[in-house]
Amino acid sequence: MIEAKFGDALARFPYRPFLLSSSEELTYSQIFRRCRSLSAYLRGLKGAMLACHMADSVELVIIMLAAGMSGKTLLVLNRDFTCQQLPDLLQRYDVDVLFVDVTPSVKLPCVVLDSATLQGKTSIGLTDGFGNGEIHILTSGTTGQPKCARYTWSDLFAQVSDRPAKATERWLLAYRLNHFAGLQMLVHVLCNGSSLVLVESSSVAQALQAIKNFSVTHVSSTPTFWRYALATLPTTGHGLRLEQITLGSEPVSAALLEQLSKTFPDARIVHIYASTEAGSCVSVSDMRAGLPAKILNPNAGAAVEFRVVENELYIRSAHGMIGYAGAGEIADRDGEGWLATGDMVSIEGDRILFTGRRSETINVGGVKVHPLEVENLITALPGVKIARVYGKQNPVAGQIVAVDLVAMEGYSEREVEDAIHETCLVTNRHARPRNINFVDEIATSNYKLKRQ
Amino acid sequence: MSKESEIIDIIKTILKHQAFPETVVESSSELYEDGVGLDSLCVAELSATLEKAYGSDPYSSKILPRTVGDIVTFYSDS
Repeated sequence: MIEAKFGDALARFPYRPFLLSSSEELTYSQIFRRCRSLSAYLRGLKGAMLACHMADSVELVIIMLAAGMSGKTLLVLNRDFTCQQLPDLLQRYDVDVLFVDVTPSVKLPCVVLDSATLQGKTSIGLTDGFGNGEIHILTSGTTGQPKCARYTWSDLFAQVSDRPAKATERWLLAYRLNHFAGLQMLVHVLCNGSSLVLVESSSVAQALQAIKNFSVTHVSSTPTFWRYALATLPTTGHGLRLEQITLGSEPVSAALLEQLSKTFPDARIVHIYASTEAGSCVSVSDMRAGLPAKILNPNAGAAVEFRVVENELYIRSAHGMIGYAGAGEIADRDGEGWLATGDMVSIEGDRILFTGRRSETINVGGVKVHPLEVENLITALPGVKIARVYGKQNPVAGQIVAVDLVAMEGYSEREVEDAIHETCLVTNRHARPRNINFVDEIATSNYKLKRQ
Repeated sequence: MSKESEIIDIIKTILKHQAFPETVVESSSELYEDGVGLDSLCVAELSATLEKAYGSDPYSSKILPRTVGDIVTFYSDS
């Protein structure tokens, strides 16, 4: 499957850059040669289960693709896991060989190979076509313990619509490769023959600098990423020539779409609904928050179907994950394949609007409050850089609505607090914030707000 | 500013947040329906605000103050 995608790319544009980083630029042809050599070497390794604990890099991409070409299964671990966390993870997922970019300081229960020594590793006498290896990724864990989702490469490719890219189309990898959205980004680029820019840092400022330095034309990231970016960019004269902005991993508010459109008037703005378990499900480009309600009545044979049960979105996807890896981890999926997404929604007119995660619903005196409704009001206010709404225990109401927020420079806390109270008068009284905290930063993971 | 003035200020701010009409708040004021008019949601906010300002609050200590003065006493006793 991966060889076939490379075959298409090599037939059309072998010398087009595939991966760009601050230290190197490699064409489709160069990457394919390295992947092919490495896949032959991996094929000869003992054990079927590989894993990598590496920062996003050209080497990591090559290992990922080569593992798929070899027919072996690869678990891509978050580089933020400490060495002390690794033994448990490696045992839980029966890993035989681990690739690292820094030698671990603890003894690990598998063979450990330094990625720097893999260049030039090859075996002879092996041919292509070793099948459809699996790739395993952990869920983001923004709301709890991560789970390990199993995918086949063919299912990942099936989620991408073939749309040959222009030679100048350059995507910024603003998600990490251990994250489903990052993996999806890699697959999208390979399928369509565009170029992928890798950045070493996960800071928004460095990502914006990389967009400039590499003449990036397309960026896919989270609403949280863009809220931080917009807080630092001038509305005009920012010098970023983006043709497309894709938002995903978190619900998008109408206010953010409007702000992006003002700042990037020439860019096509798309938001995607995807999850680690269901894969990429639908993309929307009509500049409205939420999803069109017509997706609840799909054509027969649609690859992705949606339904809403008790205000929760359910999805049945032909190309979602196979299941979770690891003993005792069972997908919240019924016998007919419907997956409970945990995303709470309300249907308003022709739109499905997101109200928050099932696990984040706040119970204020017996009334359910969905944090996203409040968060969208607050983040749209001038002076608010980023905000997180959550339930706080309270002796009188059980829980109250609390907000942590980062204010923009030039705005006083009193001014922002008054504006929040005033704007939230439009909500149900139970949903109004009763505890507002000004903080220096709000924790994020992969540019998503951490919500536990 | 005295503790009593601070607490009166907190209560007035809570009433303002809810767009309730302005009312006289003093030490002897009853907190609930027959007095200042705090309902359960306002009391929840009062509890959270006092806890944030002073590190503890009467409601979390299972004490139900009846008047503004009862809250002042709670802090002067603790």
